[in-house]
Amino acid sequence: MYNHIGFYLAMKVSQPLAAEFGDRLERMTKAEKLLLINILSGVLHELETTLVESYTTAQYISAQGIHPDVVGNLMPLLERFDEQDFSTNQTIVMVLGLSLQDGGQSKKGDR
Amino acid sequence: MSQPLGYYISGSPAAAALAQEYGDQLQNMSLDEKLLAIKAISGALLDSLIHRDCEPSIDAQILRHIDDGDPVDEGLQESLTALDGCDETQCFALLTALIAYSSEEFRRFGSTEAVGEPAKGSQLDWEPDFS
Repeated sequence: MYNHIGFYLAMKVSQPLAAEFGDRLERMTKAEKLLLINILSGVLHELETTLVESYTTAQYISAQGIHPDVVGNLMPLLERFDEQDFSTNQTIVMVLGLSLQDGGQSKKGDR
Repeated sequence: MSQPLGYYISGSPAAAALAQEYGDQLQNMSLDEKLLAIKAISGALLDSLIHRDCEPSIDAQILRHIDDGDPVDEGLQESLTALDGCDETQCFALLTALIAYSSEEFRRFGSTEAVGEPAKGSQLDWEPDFS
């Protein structure tokens, strides 16, 4: 089976990106994946609908009033996503979304 | 659009039926509307995971978005709010379908039905010719 995040990142974007994010994304729980999708799609929506040139995940988290405990140890990863361009983050949302099909069963269990 | 939204939903006849009902609205969305829909559905599913005592509500997510001063097209709001009738599995199916449908690349890559296999013509589909 090729149904894993690293495979999609490698197929769609590039090997370096897959190496950097693939394993980390793949080991996430369903809740973590949903949180990333929610935050990244929110940031992309903000960039798409406003004239701002940059909008960070931290700004979105603050604007949405998402509690720091919810984001937890994902913050360093989110900051790395801030360094990526719109298209790459769109791809990350897509691979995360596809990994959630069938309810996003996680290997290490869900919160 | 080459395929209806329902084409990208597999394993959930109920979700496919919903896609049939709301498909026209959902699949004709602009990129920002799709991103809003993805954000709202993932937010609702996340809420239900974090707060097990609350029902996921896409409507609540949209209302929060409107409260923040961002207008939402009435027809889109109606379609998204109607998805609150879905259970969690159906919401996941719709989320992945919407995400898959948001990308021309993914439409070429293959439907979510074919996610377990490399797409035709992809590098993994290639076999060396030793003749």
